[in-house]
Amino acid sequence: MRRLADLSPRQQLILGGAAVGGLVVVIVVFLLIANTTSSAAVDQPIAFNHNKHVNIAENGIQCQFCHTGVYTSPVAGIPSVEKCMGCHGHIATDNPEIVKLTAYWENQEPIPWQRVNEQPSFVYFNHSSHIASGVTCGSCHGDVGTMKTAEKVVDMNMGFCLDCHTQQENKDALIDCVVCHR
Amino acid sequence: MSEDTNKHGHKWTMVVDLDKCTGCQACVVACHAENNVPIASEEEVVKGRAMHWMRIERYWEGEFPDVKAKFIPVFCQQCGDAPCEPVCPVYASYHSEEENVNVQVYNRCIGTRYCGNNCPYRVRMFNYRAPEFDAPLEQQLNPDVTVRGPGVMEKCTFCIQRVRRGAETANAENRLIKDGEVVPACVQACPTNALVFGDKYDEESRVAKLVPNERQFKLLESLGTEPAVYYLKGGETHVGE
Repeated sequence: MRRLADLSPRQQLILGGAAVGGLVVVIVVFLLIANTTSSAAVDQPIAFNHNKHVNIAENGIQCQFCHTGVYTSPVAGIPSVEKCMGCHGHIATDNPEIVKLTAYWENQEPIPWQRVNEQPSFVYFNHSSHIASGVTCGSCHGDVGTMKTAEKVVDMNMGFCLDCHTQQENKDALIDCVVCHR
Repeated sequence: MSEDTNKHGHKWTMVVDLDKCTGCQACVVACHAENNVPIASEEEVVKGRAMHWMRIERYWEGEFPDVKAKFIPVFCQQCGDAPCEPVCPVYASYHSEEENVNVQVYNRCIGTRYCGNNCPYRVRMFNYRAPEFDAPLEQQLNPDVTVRGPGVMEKCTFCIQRVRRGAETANAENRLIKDGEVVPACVQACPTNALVFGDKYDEESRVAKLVPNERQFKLLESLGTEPAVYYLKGGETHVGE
């Protein structure tokens, strides 16, 4: 095997170019993979456990019990601290996470929940019309009931929306730009 | 898209009775509030960069002391054959087949300004800079309407967010949209009801009945743009009609 210094300048250049090119390909592939796997749990102020609340064996609470707006409003909504305290004034009061909740309640502060799923500002999304058309929560949010901390399971991009919209009976109306962009 | 070739969906139409318009500009204010239209500074206006989705054009008639002011509210005419649409290289100026209005898809727009230059009504506004809303105006932004960023063209949409909300409500209740159920902000604000809005395909709607009127005309009709805005001529002989 020849040493690098033995190569002509031209060969060194080609070899260097190939190495740089290879590195670029590796970085791009890495970025693509990093971009598509999106299920990183978000750090929340309180380690709220969806599974504990939703799991039928334990409490079996329906999504809309806390996310009350989902039938009637564009936003499903995050429950108020008051709603949490409605149960947790009595239940599991000595759990360290519930102690945190009680502190927010006593300081009369909202809980600074971190957003898990987000649409850009130029996209209009309405929860109630999707629920009315028979789309289940899980179609976009995954099986949140089995998650400890809520995670994003799908990238809610235009392709994801259109995959479903183009399969509907009234697809002409549903793929009109103004349905989402206004 | 010619008016006759698309008969499905809706044909959203505005009728402006110039006899009733007093030039009070309530519509302009309502439009700014509803559609998150930023207010341009004096320096910007001098540069020709004013931001209004609708304007009241004022014309003086007669010699002093017999002077009369005439007003024409001008906003996007939602042309059936819109000059702004074919010139857009990225299809950001787009004709909604369902609603029969011309909409601007802000996230597609790359800011060539071809559409604004090709619009004979001069109703398209370009965001030369990032929008600024002085406190406390930033607290009253309409969440249903995009706040347009710099480099994006924008214009009147017939308050498409209100039209769509009406459609969604009607869908949920399994019925058609009723005449008068959906009104753009300008129509809602007009104290003299000079502006009437509705679906011209609905033969029972007020606009469908107002359009065949001897006073009716369209702006720059000879250009063949097929506007969806009809004006009713003003004049003393028709006052009180």
